[in-house]
Amino acid sequence: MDTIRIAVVSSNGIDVDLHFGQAKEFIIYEIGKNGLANKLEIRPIPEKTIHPAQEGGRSGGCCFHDDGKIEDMAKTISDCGYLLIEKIGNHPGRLLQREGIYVLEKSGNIEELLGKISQYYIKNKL
Amino acid sequence: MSKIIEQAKYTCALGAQQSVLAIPRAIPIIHAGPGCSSRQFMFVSNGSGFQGEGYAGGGQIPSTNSSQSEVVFGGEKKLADTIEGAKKVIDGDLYVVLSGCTAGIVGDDVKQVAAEAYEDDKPVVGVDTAGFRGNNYKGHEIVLEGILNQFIYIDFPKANVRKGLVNVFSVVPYQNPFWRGDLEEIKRLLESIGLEVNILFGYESDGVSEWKDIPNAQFNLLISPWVGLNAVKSLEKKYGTPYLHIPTLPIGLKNTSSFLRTVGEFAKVDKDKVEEVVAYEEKKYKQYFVAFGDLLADFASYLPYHLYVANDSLYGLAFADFLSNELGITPKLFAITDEPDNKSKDFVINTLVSKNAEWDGKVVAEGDNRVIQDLIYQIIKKEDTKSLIIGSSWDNELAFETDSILIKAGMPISDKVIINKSYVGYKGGLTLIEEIYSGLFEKGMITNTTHADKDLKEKTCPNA
Repeated sequence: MDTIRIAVVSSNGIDVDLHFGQAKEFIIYEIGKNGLANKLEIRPIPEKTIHPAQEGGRSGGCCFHDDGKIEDMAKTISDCGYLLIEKIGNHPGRLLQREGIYVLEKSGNIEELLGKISQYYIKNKL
Repeated sequence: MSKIIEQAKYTCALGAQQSVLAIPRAIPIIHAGPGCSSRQFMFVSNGSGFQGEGYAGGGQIPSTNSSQSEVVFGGEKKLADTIEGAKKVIDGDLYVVLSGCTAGIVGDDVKQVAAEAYEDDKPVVGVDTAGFRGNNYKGHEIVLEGILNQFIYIDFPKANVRKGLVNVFSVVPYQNPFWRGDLEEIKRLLESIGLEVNILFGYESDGVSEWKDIPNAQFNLLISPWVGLNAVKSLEKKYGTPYLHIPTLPIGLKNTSSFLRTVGEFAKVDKDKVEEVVAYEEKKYKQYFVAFGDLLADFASYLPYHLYVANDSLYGLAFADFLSNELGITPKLFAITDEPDNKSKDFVINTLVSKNAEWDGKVVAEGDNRVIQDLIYQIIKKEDTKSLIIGSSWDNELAFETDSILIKAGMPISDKVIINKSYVGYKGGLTLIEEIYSGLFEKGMITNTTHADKDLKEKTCPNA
């Protein structure tokens, strides 16, 4: 089994509890060959333009995102297979998917959720 | 059979959402990926003559739109939330959760989630209709089984038999494109000999109240070779209700009279009443038929003499029987398109061949219409005889190239509008005859009636 990295968005390091617009940093975890997750590092999110929905706001969600900035963000976590976050809009989600990062929208305890991802990954990618 | 289907004649088991929609005020709830449900709607409803969304169909169908998250973390919570939302927002008498491929692989227990959401006035059942379980004929059976096992058998365990009451299990809604008109006519025929009918699907059904009444029937009537057989057997086991199995949907005079007599005898209806109805209907039918006979005589050399049927077990058997045994068109090929298991396939073949041995060796099972087309084309080229093809919208070019008459009676029908037309019964048989022989004039009026004019083709289709 290959190792897989997961970028997690959290306010306190314990729970997945932030929306995309609120995220300040990524916590990078790696699931090793033994199926256990360990925390690698924290990567700050590059400064991005976030405004409340303006006239002509593209994604129609609660934040107006600049595609170029999202692509920069994607490069920050380009080594990760998944982004674990409470909520993200369809548009940024799809852009990340194009860069090879699957978005998992789920709130809850980080350890538990990583455990489930690990189980799924072992079951299906071996 | 090849691994790629070029011309589909059915869809995956999730297509049975349309069977739920066919029950008045029954609401399907889909636990599958985004788009699964609308794809089923596009094929099964739009592709059967644009039959529309109905009460809760098309864009109204609630769906969990399962994504990667549901696959990784499990989708039961999302399903439970979706069911609660559906119960609040869509007013229905029965909710049926159908799960698609993802849920099937991930192992979401749809039946359990449905049971937890069950309320007396808002019953919820859950069935696994993952695409790999089979096609939508199988899906229809799975839905029947789910509604009986998880709702009727639990809430109505005792039968209170009412003489003369019959439950009908027959055409698959939408997948058999003329189902609405068919069920209307079946109900009318049965009522004409004095029976009370739970037709269960369609506009003449009272909906869920009829389903609740199922245990009380004097007998169950299965008008179908194999779809629904499990349901009537299950009902016999649970309530002791006997069933009458008539594999051939009645089209035309012979089969409809035989149908009425067989049902009448099984139901112990007054024989005189049945004969009165049969005599009245036959007299009318024969007058029409004799009048039409003049056309057969005048255009004898232009008539289609060879018959090719590409349709499912139910419709296909009915057309093959009527057209060969009543109209006398020579059997050439019947391709059964609904993928029956071997036992059911043999049953269809035996039913047809035992009545008309000319069909022996001419019945195959094939789900890819392109394979059927190639077969038909080969045979017609060899036989060089005007032919009648009972097909679908896939077959327009085939009919043109072989100069055949085409009747579209099976999925998909995307270039016609179907409302309440039916080929069932005495009336339906005459409608079918009308359409077949109108096909003689598709390329224009035939003015030369003493012999086939070989220049006619050049005159009417110079570039063919």
